[in-house]
Amino acid sequence: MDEAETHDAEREDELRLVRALRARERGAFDRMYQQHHDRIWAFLLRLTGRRDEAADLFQETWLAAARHAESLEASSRLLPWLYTIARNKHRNARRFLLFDLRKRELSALEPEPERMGLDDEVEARERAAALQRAFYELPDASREVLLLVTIDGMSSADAAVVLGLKEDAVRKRLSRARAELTDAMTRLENKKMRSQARGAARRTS
Amino acid sequence: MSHEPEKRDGAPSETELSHALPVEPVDASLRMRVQRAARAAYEREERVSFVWTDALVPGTLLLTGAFYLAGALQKLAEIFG
Repeated sequence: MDEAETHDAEREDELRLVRALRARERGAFDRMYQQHHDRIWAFLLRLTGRRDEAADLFQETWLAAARHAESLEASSRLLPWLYTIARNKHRNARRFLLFDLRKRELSALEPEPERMGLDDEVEARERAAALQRAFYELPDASREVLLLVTIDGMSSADAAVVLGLKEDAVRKRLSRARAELTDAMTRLENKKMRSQARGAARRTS
Repeated sequence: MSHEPEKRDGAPSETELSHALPVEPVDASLRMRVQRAARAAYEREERVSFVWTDALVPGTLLLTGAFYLAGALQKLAEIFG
């Protein structure tokens, strides 16, 4: 079976499952949950950066999916539908979680400017920590599009469904998000280099 | 003017971003708790829609029958009363 046939067969399975969910057939919900719960969890955990918040949103997302299964269109794609619910739950929660957001930012990993003479592994770890910190400095809209398209590998057509945008707008938002991430990384790395330069100057004086 | 070093080539790759945002799998107790709660909600909605559909048809027939019976009784009352 070639790739196109596999894709068609998968789509046919998905459409069967959508029909079953719309008709509220027993067992259909469990099949959807088994297929997609891990990706929804990963999306929410990365989006929030917090396990407790992700757990609450994960539960709310699946309860909403269970209650509104009949609202699926016959031709719906399940994963974008679930991502849309998860994203909406996150956006609703964020309106009331400004205090928690500050806590998350304070607990984000800090770059370690005092460590000199780093080997590759330590340098890679520090860069990952800086990248994580830069990611959580981005606005929600930028984090969402980076997670959906860059990390989850979603097509811009599916991402457009999730984000409620046109495909062109998704591509523009993605391009802007990548630029923002690069800028944030550059700011953090420059800050670290300045700190290292000051440390070196203090040692030589 | 600052002579501090500046770095401008920091564009992260997709792989780097994935590695910077690692994900632990959902723990088993949360996974099962959410599945149980959501399945119960799914089946409850199923029962609600079943009861509603199930009650609608006989309920409508009953009301229609009662309406015609009341009309017939009224006619009989007029004839014999």
